[in-house]
Amino acid sequence: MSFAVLTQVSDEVRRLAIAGSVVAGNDFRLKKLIPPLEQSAAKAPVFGKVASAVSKLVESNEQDSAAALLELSSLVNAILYTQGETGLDGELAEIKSVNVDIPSSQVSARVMKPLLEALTTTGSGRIDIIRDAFERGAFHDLRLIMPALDALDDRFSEISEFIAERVLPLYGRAILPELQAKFNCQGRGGDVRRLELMVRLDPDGSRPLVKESLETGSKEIKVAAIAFLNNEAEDLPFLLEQVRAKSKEVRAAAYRSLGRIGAKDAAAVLTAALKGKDLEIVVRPLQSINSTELVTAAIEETQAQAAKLLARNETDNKKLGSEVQRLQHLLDCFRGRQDWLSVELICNLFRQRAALVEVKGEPSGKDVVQKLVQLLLEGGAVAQKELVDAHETLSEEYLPHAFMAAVRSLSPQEVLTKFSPYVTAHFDQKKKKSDPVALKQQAITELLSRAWRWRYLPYTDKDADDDATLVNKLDPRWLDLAVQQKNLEIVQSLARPGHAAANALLEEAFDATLKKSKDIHECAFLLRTMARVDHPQLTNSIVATIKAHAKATNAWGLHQVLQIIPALPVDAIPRLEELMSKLPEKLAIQMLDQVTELKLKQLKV
Amino acid sequence: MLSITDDFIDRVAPNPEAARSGRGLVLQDKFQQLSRSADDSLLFGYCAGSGKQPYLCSADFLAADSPIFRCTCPSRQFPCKHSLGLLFAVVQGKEFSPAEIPAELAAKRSKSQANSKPKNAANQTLKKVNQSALLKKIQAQLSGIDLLEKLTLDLARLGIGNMNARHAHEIEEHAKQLGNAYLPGAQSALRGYTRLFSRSSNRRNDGELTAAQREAVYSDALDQLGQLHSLVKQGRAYLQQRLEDLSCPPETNSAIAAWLGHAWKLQELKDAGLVQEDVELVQLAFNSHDDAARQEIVDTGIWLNLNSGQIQHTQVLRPYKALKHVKGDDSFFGVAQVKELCIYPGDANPRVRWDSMVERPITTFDLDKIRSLGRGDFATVAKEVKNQIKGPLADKTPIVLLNYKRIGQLADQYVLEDEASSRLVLNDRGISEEPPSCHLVRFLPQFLLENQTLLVRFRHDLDTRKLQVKPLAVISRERITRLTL
Repeated sequence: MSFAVLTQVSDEVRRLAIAGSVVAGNDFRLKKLIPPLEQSAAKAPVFGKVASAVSKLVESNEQDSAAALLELSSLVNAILYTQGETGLDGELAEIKSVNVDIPSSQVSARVMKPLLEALTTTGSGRIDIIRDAFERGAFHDLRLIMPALDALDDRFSEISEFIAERVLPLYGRAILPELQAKFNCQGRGGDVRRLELMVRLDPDGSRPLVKESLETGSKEIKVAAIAFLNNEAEDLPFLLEQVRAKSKEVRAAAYRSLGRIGAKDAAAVLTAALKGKDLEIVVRPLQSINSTELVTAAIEETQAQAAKLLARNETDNKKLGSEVQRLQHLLDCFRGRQDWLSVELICNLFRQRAALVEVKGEPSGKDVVQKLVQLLLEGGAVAQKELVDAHETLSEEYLPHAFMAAVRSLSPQEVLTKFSPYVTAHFDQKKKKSDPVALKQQAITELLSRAWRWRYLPYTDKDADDDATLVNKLDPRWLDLAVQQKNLEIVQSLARPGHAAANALLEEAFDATLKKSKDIHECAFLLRTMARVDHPQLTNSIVATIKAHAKATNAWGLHQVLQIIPALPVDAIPRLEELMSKLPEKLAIQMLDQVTELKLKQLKV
Repeated sequence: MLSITDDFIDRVAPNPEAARSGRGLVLQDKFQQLSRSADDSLLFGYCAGSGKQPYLCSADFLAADSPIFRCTCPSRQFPCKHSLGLLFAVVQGKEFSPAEIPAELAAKRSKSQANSKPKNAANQTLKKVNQSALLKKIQAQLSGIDLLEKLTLDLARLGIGNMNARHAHEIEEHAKQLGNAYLPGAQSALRGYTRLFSRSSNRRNDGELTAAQREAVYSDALDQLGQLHSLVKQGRAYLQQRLEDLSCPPETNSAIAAWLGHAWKLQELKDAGLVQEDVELVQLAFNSHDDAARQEIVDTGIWLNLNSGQIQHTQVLRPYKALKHVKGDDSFFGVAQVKELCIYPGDANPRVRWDSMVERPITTFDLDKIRSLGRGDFATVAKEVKNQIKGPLADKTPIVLLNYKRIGQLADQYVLEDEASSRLVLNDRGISEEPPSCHLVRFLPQFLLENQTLLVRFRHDLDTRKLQVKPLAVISRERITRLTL
């Protein structure tokens, strides 16, 4: 059979179908194909059918051309369907299987579908679906590799970063070819993450790509690539060159890498930067480098800058501000350093705090003293002792730092002896906003109650840890003291299970709050503390709160109270179920999950 | 009675919210009375609702594998939260006292019992058809076919190149009349053509396709016009035949009845003998896609019938308008043991449905059985597929289970090779039901690239004139690895 002619007919039919069947009548190109078709019909009768359909079409008028065209098209397509080409000639190569190193699992469509949508679409609530799926091991499925790789470009950085840091490393080196194929040197966010991931998965293999990125990459890619340079012999010349780059970000990245390499030449460059305009961006590299020469240079520069300020020759506030800022950057270089020379410098400057606070400008000398206090607190025992010893002379602004330094360097009993007078001190209530005694008491109270205040809403992990450490390191008598003083904030922070006096104070405070308060939040704070200390009246208090606020409109406040239910003892279940039957349906359903959780707790028990 | 567990309730619940609300009803003590029949086959109770009278809800376990839920509430969800609440009451150990079955429930029960009983010879006669209504319906359908013919020919006269979004919209407005003429299938087919020119995605601001996008759809558009033309011819012949003999049941030798939009009832299929008994099926693939032409979400399960070796499919159709009320299907990882499997008329991969099934875990023996049912001769398979897809109304993307010797690579294409070195090229192009899967081949462990079984979907590309396959799942002795969703 001659299929060339059939292919020609198919092409002509396609042309006419695009143009419209009204132009098919007397089409000379189709007409020309009738004789060869008829000729082939001798061998294969189907060509005869095609020839007659073609004839019918070319002889058609405007009215019946459409049917004739569709007849012919159906016939030709039917034949072409039987002639589909299947194979592929050539030597078959083995597939370089990358064999993803994960236990293969298959996720159900009901889990997979929303997860795919979360990875490939936009909108809120996606990160929770992705995190939940990750925790359940759903990403151990081959089908999710490509959507996860594409999510590196997600506009919502929380998703793309989670994918880069947690999800994609699951697949190991198997995804390197995909990452390389999609990597664009001139790109931004997603490509920076791709480069970082490639270096993480294959540090040596990605070296050429890092070099290429340094030469031809966009600013963002270049900055990321510089961070991966850590070979002194090979990378030093390039880094020394990059500290003269126009872009501040590129210079900063180059300084950081030099700081990491820590070579002699690097120290010289950093010393030069210390005295120049790049001071701000060399602070971090200077913190990590261990070079006596560099530390000495930094000390000299700091002393000179402090002397310049204390000489008080400058009167222009704007210029003073920039000079103070420079001193702050210089002081930042000593963060984390505990060598004798550095500590001595900070202590000496701290002793000059009276003169420093007089320096005006924006920022001012007060900010310098704040920085010094912070450095002393973070320094070693010598620095902390300097700060603690000065506590009586410190204002309420710096007193909490001295307290923290004492907690870190003294015994709990010593801390109690030194600082409890601030809590028990008496002052005139009418002057509590101006009396230094009242202000210092407030400062210590705020410090001690910070852990309680932010327990349910940690602002940063580090701060939350600091607060927990602080509470654990305190003498237990602080709680007795706070109860005695009826200082509810400190009591809520330090309360511990089984402390009868604290429990009585909490109960009294809750009853008073529930009675007079219209805001459920105030009850919620007290209830959380009661839950934490296994207060015997917790169930009664929760039930009373829900009853009192069942019809209130503060859904968030009520939600916070309901969240405490799983912490109740299991014998509270009958009372809660009784309460649910009397509540409005919406609130009862809201309460359902928490009661179920409590029931699960009962089952585990 | 079945053992009622939280898992069971989650499975029968139409959605998680309904289950949650049902649980809430129990905790709120909304059930005024909880009762059970003497033989424990029926649970019922009165549940307080928003109306004056409480709702009478029940769970009937007369047929243990297919419980029936009833409720007097007006909810369109099925089962409703009240029936689910009743089940939760069992799980939570609430006491159900023995009681007489209320008269209205007993009546419904005996009616469903009567319906479910196998019909004896005397009452095997089909439900009496209202001849005049059927006559009117067929006449309306024939008028609809005339309209479809007119529209199809108009489109051919206009030319594919002159089609645009505005024309497509006009044709869609006309297509609504096909729905009124009891031809929803034909309406979807016509909409399938117009959608090629008015896709909501990949289009310019004015709704028109770009030149490159238009060029890409011409071949498919011409094929679909041919399909509409054939539908007109075959549909008219079929309807005229029925008009001559109204007692004649719908056609079962071809899918023409479904093409015209006939919704088969299980009883019709049983009456037509399209039933297979005591069957075991394994799901090899599943997809859920949005069919804009049908205006439905279609959940499709691809199953291997372990008894016949045929690849069959299940479909749950969820119209946009009833998405909230129709429960979506989910993938299935066990073996479904089906007492009575109803098979729809169709070609290579007919649609199947069942009333009830029992699940059992899949075993190595099952996997071996699946692999033994794969086809190893690609040349023969390709020939059969070509013969099947040449029909204008045939399923153009049939699914086949293949045993391959190896999967190799040639340039940038993956190639499947059988024992006789016949080859099939893997390609994702043109299949929108499932997401792309070819790229996953290189993530497969080495042992899956040789001597395994692959479920594939064939597709003939009209532009390149190549018949290629899209991989859906690899079946090894250890497991089924699904490559699509």
